[in-house]
Amino acid sequence: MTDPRIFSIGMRLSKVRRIIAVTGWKGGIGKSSIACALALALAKAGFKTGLLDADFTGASCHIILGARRSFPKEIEGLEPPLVAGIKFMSASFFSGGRAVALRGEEITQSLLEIFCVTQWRELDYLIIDLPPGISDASLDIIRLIPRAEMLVVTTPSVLAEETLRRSLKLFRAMRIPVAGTVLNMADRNGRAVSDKPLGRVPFDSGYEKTLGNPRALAASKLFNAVARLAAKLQAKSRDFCP
Amino acid sequence: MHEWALVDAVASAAETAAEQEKLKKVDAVVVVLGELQNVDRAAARRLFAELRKTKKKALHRARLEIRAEKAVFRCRACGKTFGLRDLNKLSHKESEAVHFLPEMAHVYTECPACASRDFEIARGRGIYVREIRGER
Repeated sequence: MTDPRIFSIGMRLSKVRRIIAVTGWKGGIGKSSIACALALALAKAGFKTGLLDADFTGASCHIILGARRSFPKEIEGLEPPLVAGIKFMSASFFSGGRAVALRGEEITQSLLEIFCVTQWRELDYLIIDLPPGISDASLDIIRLIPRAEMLVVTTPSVLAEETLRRSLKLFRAMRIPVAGTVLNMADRNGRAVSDKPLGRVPFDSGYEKTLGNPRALAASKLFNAVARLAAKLQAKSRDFCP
Repeated sequence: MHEWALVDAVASAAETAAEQEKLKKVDAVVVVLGELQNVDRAAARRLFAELRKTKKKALHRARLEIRAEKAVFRCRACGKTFGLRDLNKLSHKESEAVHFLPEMAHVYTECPACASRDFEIARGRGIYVREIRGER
């Protein structure tokens, strides 16, 4: 038995120039918020941008972006809806707001299916929001899309910093490209936590009120900091402009 | 149509297999269609007839042979084995969701014996290539 979906992933992503997977090995450190703000900042800068919420069991990008009423169109597979200028794909489109209880193999199957049927077409950036840790979805992204660059989120906590160090060590050993690290919820005295810092995102007490409203998000302190990170990411790849 | 992407993947898998096996001509691509995903057979045949022409020449006259596979679920909590008929009847919207992403069965259905959502899709999930026949 051959799973044909594997053979389509390269084709579906052939016109995507850069793939950034937002990871972090602790829960609640702001991966989804950073991923959404990054996608929004890139789209606002004129780049064709896609966002995949690969956290199937804890999807939240649709809440951040206010995409609850969106749904993909059936055109040679599934065409992601445009949400705030971002081509957005999420299992939340299919789960109807209910709990999604999946084990590892089922997460792998879901990810394969989404990559097989999603028509991203031409993109400058595809941002992938990964679940916490280094388990099924993250390992599948590494296996299926070796060119995906990890953007590693951490917070000023010994627990988060410790897991960050472990993650960077593993990525280096596995030769996985790392776009940089982001210190989220940083205070002014926050120190650099890795040799690949891309930047800091300050704690934004007003962020909660922006949920579901991309316009409000784009006016937030968090967004401004992430937009600076997006500019640094672009600078790391100067071979194309919007 | 959603089936387009799946059938395109089948044609690409057949193209790669033909290259690896050094087949000059592929006669048939045998696929298994799982009951759970409910892929439209007629659409799959029609799409394959179109998409084979976009692949390498060895595939241009290949036909698609379809084998159906009943869905079988196994509950990890109580061990019960059950089929689609044993499950709650899905609404049109729920069936569509499972059609697009078969793992959504875990969202809309449960074990008929113990109501657990922790069950395995043992057979009949989606589309697989069983065999490729051709000439060297």
